[in-house]
Order: sequence, then C-alpha cells, then structure tokens
Amino acid sequence: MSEQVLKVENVTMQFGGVVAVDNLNLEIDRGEIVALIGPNGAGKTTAFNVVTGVYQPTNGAVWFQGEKIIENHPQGKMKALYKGEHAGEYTHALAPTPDRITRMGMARTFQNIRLWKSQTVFDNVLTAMHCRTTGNLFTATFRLNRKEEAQQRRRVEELLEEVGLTDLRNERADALPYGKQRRLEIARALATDPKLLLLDEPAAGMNPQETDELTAFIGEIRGKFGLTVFLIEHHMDLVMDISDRIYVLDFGRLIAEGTPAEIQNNQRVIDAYLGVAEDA
Amino acid sequence: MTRDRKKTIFLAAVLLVILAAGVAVDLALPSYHIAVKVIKKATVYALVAVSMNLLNGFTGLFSLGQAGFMLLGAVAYGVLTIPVADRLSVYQYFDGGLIQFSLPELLGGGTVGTTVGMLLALAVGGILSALVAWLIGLPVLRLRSDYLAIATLGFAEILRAFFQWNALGPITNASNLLRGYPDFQHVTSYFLLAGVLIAVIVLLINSTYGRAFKAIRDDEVAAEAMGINLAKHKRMAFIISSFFAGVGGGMLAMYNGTISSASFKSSMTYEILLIVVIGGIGSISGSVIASFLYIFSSEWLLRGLDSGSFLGINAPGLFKNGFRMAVFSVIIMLIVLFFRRGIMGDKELPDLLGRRPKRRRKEAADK
Repeated sequence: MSEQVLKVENVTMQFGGVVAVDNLNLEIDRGEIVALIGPNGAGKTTAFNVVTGVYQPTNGAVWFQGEKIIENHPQGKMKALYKGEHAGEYTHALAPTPDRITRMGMARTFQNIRLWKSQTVFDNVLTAMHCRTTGNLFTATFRLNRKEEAQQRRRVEELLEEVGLTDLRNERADALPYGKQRRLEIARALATDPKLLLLDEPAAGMNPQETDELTAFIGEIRGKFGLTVFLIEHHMDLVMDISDRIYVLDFGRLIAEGTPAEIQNNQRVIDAYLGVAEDA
Repeated sequence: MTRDRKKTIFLAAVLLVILAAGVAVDLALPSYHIAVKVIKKATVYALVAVSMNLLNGFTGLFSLGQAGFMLLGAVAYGVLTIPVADRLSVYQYFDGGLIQFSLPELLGGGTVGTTVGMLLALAVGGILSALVAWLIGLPVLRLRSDYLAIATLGFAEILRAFFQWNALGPITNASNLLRGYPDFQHVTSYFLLAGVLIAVIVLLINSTYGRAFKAIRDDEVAAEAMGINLAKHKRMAFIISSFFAGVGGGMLAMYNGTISSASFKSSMTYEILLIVVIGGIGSISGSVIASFLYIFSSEWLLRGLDSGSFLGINAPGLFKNGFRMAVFSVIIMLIVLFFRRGIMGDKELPDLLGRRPKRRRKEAADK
C-alpha cells in the first residue's frame, strides 16, 4: 500500500444554502508537497478548516494516516437543504476537536498570522510543545518533570536555529517583521511534532525575495523533518516551484489536478483565473 | 543566565525582608493593634487576589464568583473547627447542630493537633470549593467573556442564599454567626501560609500548564490549533483558582473571628477585582502590592474620613460616614487614569531589575 497521509473523501461543506466546498476528493502521499489553489472565495480555507476540525463537514469523510478521523452526514434541517452528492453514503458522525487532530499529527498555520503576541519568540514555540507533555499538573507545578522541560527547551533552541530566529528569541512575537512572524508560526507548528503540515497562504504579504526564501525553506524542512506539506497559496511562482502536485478549486468544486506543468496548460484553470471570452 | 540569578537573589531578599518584618511586628505590637489587623487582612486578600488573577489575568476567563468560593471555604473552616463544647451555644437555634466533631480536637488538640486540624480544615474548604467549581464549570465555562462573568456572579449569589437557608441550619447555622473557632495569632503564620500558597500558584503559572493558560488568554483559536484542549484547561484553571479562593475564604474567617454568610456579597468580589486591576492584570506581585495598598488605605489611612478627623483636620460635618468611599473612588479613578495597566502592568517585581542594563546597553550601542 502506498503511504497515504491524507485522504479527503467526498467532502461537502454547506453553510445554510451556500455550498462552500462541493464534493471534494483529494489524496496526499507521504513526503509530497501538494498545493491547493483557486481564485478568491473558491473554498480553499474552508477545505483546510474541515480537515483541521474547525468545521464539521456536511457530508463526507477525512482519513489521516490510514485512519478515518472525520465523518459526517446531513442531519436535522440540513437533510432537506442538502444540495451535494453522495447523500446517504455516510452514516456516522465523527468530529474530533482541532486540538485532538493536532495531537494526531497535523499542524497548521493561519492565513492571518495568529501568534501569541504578548509572549516571546521562545515562549511561543515552547508553549506549542505543551500538547506533547507527558507530565501531569502536579509533576509540572512541582518541577518533577525537569528532564522533560529541559528537553523541550533544547528542542526549541534547535527549532529556532532551524528557522533562523535564534537571535530574536527574547523579542515579543508582535515585534517581529512580517516575514519572521510567518517563520515563527511555522516553527510553532513544527513544535507540535507533526507528520502533515498545513500552510494557509504562507507567502501572503511577502515580497518576491522573501517568497523565494520561503520556497527554499519549505523544501528544506520537508526533508529535515520528514514532513508532508499541504498548502494554499496565491503566489504562483512559489506553487509551481515546490509543488509535486496541484489541486485547483473553483466555486467549491475541484476543476483540475496534476503536476505544475499540467496545471499551467489546463484550459479550465486558465478560464477560471482569467475568465472566458464572451465573443468567442 | 546571570540576570536570572540576580532576579532570584533579589526575590529571595525581598521575601526575607517581608518575613523579618512579620516577625518584628509579632514581637513589637500587641495582636489587637490596627497594623496587625491590616497586615493579616491584606495577606488574605493578596492570596485571593492572586487566585483571581490566575483566572482573569492568566487564563483570560473573566469570572466574578470569588466571594462564593470564599464563603464555601470560610463556612467549611468554621464548621470543622468549632470546639464541640461550644457548639450548643453557637448553633443555639439548631440544637447544637448536626456535626459533632472538630478537626483540631480529633487530632488530639495541643499546639500540633490544633495547627494541623486548622490546616486540614482550610484544605477541606479549598477542596469543597474546587468540587463546586467543577460542577458550576460544566455549564458556565461554555460561555465567553461578559456572559461568563454574569453567570459566575449569579452562582456566587445563589451559593450565599443557599447557605443562609434555614433547612441547612444544622450545618451552616443559616444566617446566624459561626464563631469560637481557633485562629492563628501571629502575622508570621499568615505570611507563611499565604506565601507558600502564592508560591505554588507562581510555580503553576511558570510551568507548561501555565504556558497553556496564557496561550488560551492570548489566542484561543491558535491555542486549540496547537493541540491545547480548551475545555480541559479552562476547567483546570477555574478549579485551581476556586481551590485557592476557598482556602483564602477560610483564612478570612480566621482573621474576622466570626463568619456570617451575608458578608460574602458580590461587593467582596469587586473589592478583589479592584485589587487585581490596580495591581495589574497578569502580575502576581502587582496583586500582592495592590492588596496591601488597598487594605492599608481603606482600613487604616482613610478611616479618619469617616469618623470626623483626618490628618489633623477636624471636620465632623464633612468627614462622616461614607465620605471615605467618596475619596476612595477619586483615588481609584486617578490610578486608572495614570496607571492604565495597573501598578505593575504584566511585569513582576524582579523584572524591574532587568530594566537598567537594557537602557545601558542601548546607550552603549548609540555611542
């Protein structure tokens, strides 16, 4: 069996009468970098929020490392309202909270950076390791877990070194320049020890040089941490540079998938981005 | 590293000086002296304020239930420590009450037995508060900000009414006073007890769990995305804070000498909230300092404003009952205006040490 990390199966996310994600199917294998692209409002972030447990899908299932972690079917009022496909195929409701999904090994960053602003760079990364602590409240309070704490602190140093923020370790997170905040968010996600890293527009607001650095950086951490990366991005240079495969969403529906070269020449993708000429 | 060490030494020195001051007060002043009273009350309030800060300042849960948990701790303390021989007179309307034992006596009396019994009773009060907090937390912690404050305030008031209920009289003495229980005579005992408990809270805040609490305060969504179980950690903070409020309530009962449920009103919670805000939301040492300032001025310094003469000025017409609170309000407004973030902000006492080297380094860089 190929090592499949993530599988999104027939996922539909409907808010009232609006279908934000319509029958989405995608698969990501171990070690891949896969991008999800599409025009504004195509449902990319919604898809991310379904996978990370922020939203419960209306219908469909999500598998992570061969295990079904999320499943739902239209219930209550939604039964009558449901416009999607595959109704009736799913019968269970499985909805873990985002923190449980993170502990399963899936970490994310946010489109609009969400650091713990008043805390230092070091503490931001250290705090993210809390979900991997084995000590309980008592041992933690009375410092009976010194070994673990010391180990975590060493790991933070390593991670900061990795993302190049060692010099800034004692600065407040919100004092960092934008690009560094992005890096810090990735370091924080890495601190939760993920198998799959989800990046929501990691290059948003970056200049071309910063974007290039980020591209190199993502490739680097994939190798070093044995990661699989799933990202949403608008910067096409970045996407075409590092993605192994690309999925394209438009109005909630998957309109294309393939390698960067295939996507660049796909007429439907070009139409979705540029619009179709009326007088043809 | 060296600066951390300096901070530790500084903190240890401050604590030693405080302890020495406590011993000096014990030796020099009789226990009925106003200074002794003020210091004892301020110590108790400091503990409760720190417990409230753990919740409001470090976890970002705006709760106003502190007085209710203090009441629980106070009543538990009284019920468990009143000598059996005195019960008939204390519970005069309830035939001596239902509970016919007292922890200090069960433990054989004497200095050791009494002390251990008292500490045990305080702990029981704390544990009861924690249990009730767990129960209340089930529905209440689903609420956010203002709604949480209103719900906890309501629960505290319900608790107070419940304790004054006649049917519970055999246990709580309903709306009558509980009295005649043992207390600590020395300021030093208060210092040691409150000091140890506050130290535990500080250790907790600096542990991995404390970091999780702060993460929830700063950004709930991010905290959850980083694998922190929101429900579990909020419940934890709420229960721990209530435990310490319960113990603080027991200590307040000790200080007062009598317990009347009616005195644990929401205004007591507001007093503590005021201390937390003046001291700085998210600063332990701020809460402690503010507690001493607040109790000192309201119980001692400004007393004269209510009783006719203040700072040598005799004006019985102006300085009469209630004028103290008017002046106090003005002072508080001034503090809020000029110290927006409280006396300490979110800094701790040892952090003040770190300031000067930084400025010097900057000057050096400028040269």
